[in-house]
Amino acid sequence: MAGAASDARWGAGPIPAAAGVGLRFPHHAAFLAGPPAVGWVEVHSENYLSGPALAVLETVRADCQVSLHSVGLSLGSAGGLDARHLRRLADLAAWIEPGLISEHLAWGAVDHAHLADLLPLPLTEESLEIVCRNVAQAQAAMGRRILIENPSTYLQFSHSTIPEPEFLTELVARTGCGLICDVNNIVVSATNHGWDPVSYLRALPAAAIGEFHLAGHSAAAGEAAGLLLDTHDRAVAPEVWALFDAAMDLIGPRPSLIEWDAAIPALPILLQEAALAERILARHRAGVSDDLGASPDPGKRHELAA
Amino acid sequence: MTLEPPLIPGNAMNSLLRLQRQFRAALLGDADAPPLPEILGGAVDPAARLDIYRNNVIGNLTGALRLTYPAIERLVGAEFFAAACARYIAATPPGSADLYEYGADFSDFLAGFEPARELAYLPDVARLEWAVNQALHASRAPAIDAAALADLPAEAQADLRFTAHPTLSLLTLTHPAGAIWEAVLTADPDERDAALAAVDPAAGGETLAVLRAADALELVRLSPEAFALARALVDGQPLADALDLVAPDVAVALFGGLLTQGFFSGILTQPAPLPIE
Repeated sequence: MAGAASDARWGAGPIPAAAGVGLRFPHHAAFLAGPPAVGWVEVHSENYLSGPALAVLETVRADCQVSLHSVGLSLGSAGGLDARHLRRLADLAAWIEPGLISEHLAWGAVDHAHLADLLPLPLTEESLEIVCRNVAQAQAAMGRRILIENPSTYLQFSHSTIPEPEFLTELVARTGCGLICDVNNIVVSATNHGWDPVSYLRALPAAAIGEFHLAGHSAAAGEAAGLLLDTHDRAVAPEVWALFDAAMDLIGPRPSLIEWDAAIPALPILLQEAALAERILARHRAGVSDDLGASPDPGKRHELAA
Repeated sequence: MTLEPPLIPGNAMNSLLRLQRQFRAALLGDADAPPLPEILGGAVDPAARLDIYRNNVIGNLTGALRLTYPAIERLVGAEFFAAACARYIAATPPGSADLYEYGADFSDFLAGFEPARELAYLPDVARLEWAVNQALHASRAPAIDAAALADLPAEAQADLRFTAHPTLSLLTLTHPAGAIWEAVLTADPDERDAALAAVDPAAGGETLAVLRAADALELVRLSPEAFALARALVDGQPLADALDLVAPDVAVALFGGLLTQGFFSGILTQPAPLPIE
């Protein structure tokens, strides 16, 4: 595939510290029908590697900034990365020229079997060395820094020795990667494991955080009652908005994404959620200098919240 | 293709790799999988915590199979389909993180799946659905047409070989799977019932091509002669040899039809390389 840099239709520049939405299949038609009603979108890379979805992404990319968020690279795999999958993701990134590239602190593949979920890692020195090696390999293949997202988890391992924010801090220090701070994941994991969400937020290296994620969660039933599930099937919960507000004070505005992956609503509902995020971002952007990621033209982005 | 497991000094066996193998076995329900004593409990016990991941894995992979095999799901019902998928997933987890590549041998699994034994046409419908999935996700390529041949000298044409369009699959089905597939995916439920009632599952087989040479997916029914010609050309036989397989009076017209329908994306004028001993 030829590079897209010379194509004048292609948008340019970094993703602003504004609200974006996850682009999902039910909204393809709406995005193709007219100019996007949001400044930037994020897609799950694995759904756009080929076929009609890739064609849609190429069209959307002509009008707005795109972030590529993969779910299947399995950065926590002790057996190393799947070289073919890494190459396909790197090819997609070379073609789409996304504003951001990201993955998760998780694993999903072992012995060539891909389990299609974000599975939890024991947080040990051994895991840290493995994740660092895999992140370094991914960054070398992409030719750029990637962001690593804090996961939502439903279990912990007895032999874990490193608190999760410390693990992420050390990963940043050793590989130069950045972070996605998924505010919903902090609320979910903190509830599931009895952590303090604000202390977690304070322990993250603020300067490394390049994006926020926001999503809805649900309460588990039956045997797992008491746990929260990262279901992305509803609006963002009030306690997640409150923690996002706290993150604005502790970390500052960043590109902030609404994710909605199940029971996906009509696009206007999704855009309303983005508008709520945009209102909070705008309030905190006002006093922030450009070098922290604020747009030189914040007025333009306020249209979203109007 | 993965790298060799990294060796951590002091560990005879990489402990994370061992844990991930045990976790996989637990998720996919190996009866004799060792338990994972490393999982902490607390207010919710370890088994219930692990179940969340098991449900996610089985649910995500069943969802991927549902997208590729909608006709199979309609034919057997959602509950039966989910049960079949759970068995298939445990035996054959994906080899790729791209879930469009998952399920290539689902038709073979169905052929050996005892509860579906009476639905003899099911594996053929699955083969057709896999070909549809391939056509939708193969890389796009322009098809060649008759004009591409016009510039070549007549004496070169006999030796021409062709590259099959990347979206093309040729299927020999022993059951009327194309008719069943079209009927069961009819959107309107009443029309669907009527369409299905009109299909005789005991009718003979079909020879089909599935491709997406232009934007739309196409299901092309081929006569036995057209299929034989297409098969020979897709397998790389020179044009003259392939045309010899069909009656001389229809050969050129059949070949023209394949060209027009976009079966080929390239022409090779060099002879085939000699097989290596």
